[in-house]
Amino acid sequence: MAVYSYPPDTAGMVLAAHEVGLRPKMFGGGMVGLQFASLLTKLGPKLNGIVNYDFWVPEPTLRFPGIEDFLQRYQAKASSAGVDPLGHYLPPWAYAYLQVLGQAIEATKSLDQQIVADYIRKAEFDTIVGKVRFGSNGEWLQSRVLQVQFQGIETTDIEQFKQPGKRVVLYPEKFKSGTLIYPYSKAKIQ
Amino acid sequence: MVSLDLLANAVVAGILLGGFYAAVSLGVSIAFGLLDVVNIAHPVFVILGSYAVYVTNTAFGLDPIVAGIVFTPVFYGIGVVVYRIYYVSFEKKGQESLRGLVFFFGVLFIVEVGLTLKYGVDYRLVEAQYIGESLRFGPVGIALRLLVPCVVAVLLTLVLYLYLAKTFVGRAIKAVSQDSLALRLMGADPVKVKDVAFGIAIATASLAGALLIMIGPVEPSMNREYIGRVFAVAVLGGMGSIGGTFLAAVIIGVAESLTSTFFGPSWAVAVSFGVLLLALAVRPAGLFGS
Amino acid sequence: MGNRLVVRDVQAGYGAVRVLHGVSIEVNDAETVVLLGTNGNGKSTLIKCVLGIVRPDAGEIFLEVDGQRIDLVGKPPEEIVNLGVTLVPEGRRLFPKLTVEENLLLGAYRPGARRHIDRNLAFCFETFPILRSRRKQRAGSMSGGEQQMLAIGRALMAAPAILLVDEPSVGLAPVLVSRVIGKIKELKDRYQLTVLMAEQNFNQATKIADRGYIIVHGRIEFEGHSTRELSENELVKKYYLGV
Ligand SMILES: Nc1ncnc2c1ncn2[C@@H]1O[C@H](COP(=O)(O)OP(=O)(O)O)[C@@H](O)[C@H]1O
Ligand SMILES: [Mg+2]
Repeated sequence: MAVYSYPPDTAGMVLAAHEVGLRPKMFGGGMVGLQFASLLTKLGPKLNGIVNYDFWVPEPTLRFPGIEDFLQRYQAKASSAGVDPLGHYLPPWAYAYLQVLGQAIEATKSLDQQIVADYIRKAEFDTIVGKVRFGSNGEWLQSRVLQVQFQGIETTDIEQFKQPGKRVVLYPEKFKSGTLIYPYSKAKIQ
Repeated sequence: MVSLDLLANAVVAGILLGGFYAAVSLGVSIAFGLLDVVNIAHPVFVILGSYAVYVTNTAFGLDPIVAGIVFTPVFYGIGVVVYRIYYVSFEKKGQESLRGLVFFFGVLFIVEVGLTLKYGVDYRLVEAQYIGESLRFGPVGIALRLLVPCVVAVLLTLVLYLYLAKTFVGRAIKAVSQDSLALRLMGADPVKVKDVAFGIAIATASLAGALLIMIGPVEPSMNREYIGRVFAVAVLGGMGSIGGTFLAAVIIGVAESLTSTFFGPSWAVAVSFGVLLLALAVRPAGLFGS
Repeated sequence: MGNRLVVRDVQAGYGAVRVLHGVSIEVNDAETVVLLGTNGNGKSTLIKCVLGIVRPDAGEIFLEVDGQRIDLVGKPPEEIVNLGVTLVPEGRRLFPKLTVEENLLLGAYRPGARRHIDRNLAFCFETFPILRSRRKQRAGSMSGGEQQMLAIGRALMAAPAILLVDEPSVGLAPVLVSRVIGKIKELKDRYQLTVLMAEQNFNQATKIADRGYIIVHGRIEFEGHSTRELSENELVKKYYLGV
């Protein structure tokens, strides 16, 4: 069963799935909200089995150089800044895009938008989220949207979400870090 | 073909939702219906209540309902202070109609922005044993995170009803906007009576906030979704009638639930005003107004 | 007991308009005193001064309770009411959306009256049986005469030491005026209430008054020590009896 929802309804759908004892073969899809701490630490074990999109998770296949250092610096400031304490979802890519821009300006030695843009569409960039390339239309050459499955979550503790194995990457193949537990109800029980 | 199971579930969910709407609207019913104070900031106090509950639930694992009750005296105090400022700055000078409204708009934004600065725009949830559990009666499932708020709302309605009907101050609250000089001739100070009433109205927001964050995640700007709905409930309920407010809330809850089930959730927001317009066309004083 | 209300040399008005020009009256324990005057002579203004609704510019108003003097000038109405001075206001001023019973119970708001609430409610219902049968009716939906009964009943619920009544006859048919006045007399006879009543209906007022004052343009023009003295007065003959 595929669900595409914003955070309030995401939480509602996850809770309702448990309330009505939903037993689909798979459950998840495009639920916004299951990427940041405020919902993860409240839903806890109810997340098990859900397959949902994400942009970065702490799996071994995504541990690129610089990401650890970045997250450490981010997390140290997060609580006082009142932002997501994990910082997995959007911050790595936000930082990476600035790396892309920086590298492009340095390489072209130009601030001319056309020149910088042309360079970005051609070159490959080394960032904290790995190597990134863009196509001629400006989109990612290869999609970097992950499908992850929540597995083995036993508590609502935030620390577990910093460990690998809790949100295993199923897709893209290149970053795959675990295997899908199927059907949903099997992952739910674990 | 409408499935009977679906219909039954939608009606039950609507009644439960309506109970919760009553909890959110009772404070408006008192402030707007009985005191003539157009407190459009009421829903933001409900959100403030949610955050108070969220903080204690996250830090100490305190049950949301218990936390909501624990905070009622604090919210009562906030209510008294807000009313005093409103009274001295506007009501006393007879400027309450427009400037008073602007005042409450200001309060709304200050609280909302304050919460955003402190806690960010992330959605917040609470934990409790019963959240995510449900009871089943044949084909009808009842989620505890909806049932508990509804039961609490019924109790809150009952307590407020009895307070207004059976206590001296309660009766004075019902009388104060009808003739405040006459109330003084009964030996009551109308400003103090309104202090108490407004304090109680805001105190209900603490409990309603607990119910809100139990049902689903909360973020600061969510209060705005409730402004129209709570005023619709208060007017439909007959301006200050406590029992009427509860029934009006249930009617709107059921109407919203049926609309989202059979026509899609986008229509649900239009329902409260639709029901209000319809009802006012037939009964201009609201369901229980006089 | 021993309650006395004294008004001495009171001057009062609204803004620049002076309405009372040095008024002095007294109401002694268990007396019924009538303040007679046609429309616009300052009866209500004087009563408002006693209750703290209008603040006098000069003069004194005080209560004597068991020989002890309590100044009323400067006190807010609710405080004066809490001393046991109760008003049946002009135009009744009921709470129209509340029931008869709720109106009566609000009458007993002051702490001094709450202890006797059951007794006083029974007494109200006995005096005005109509109020008992209309307990659950909204006050605003009753007839004028019934509303006046309720206004008096509500004032009695306050267990007043001194009862002020401002023109109970206003807006009532003559037969109802007699009935209302008759009720006040009944109360006074049975319970030795101390009453100050403002009226312009001379014949009705003198039925129950022990004595009275005539107020003209904000001045006490005549003090009658008995109803006979009042009815023989030239002013009264001129203004009220049409002689
Ligand atoms: N609130 C008020 N503002 C200005 N003038 C008033 C007010 N109330 C009464 N007056 C004036 O004071 C005078 C006495 O009024 P009032 O005391 O009500 O007389 P009465 O009760 O004997 O009919 C009248 O001329 C009246 O117009
Ligand atoms: Mg008058």
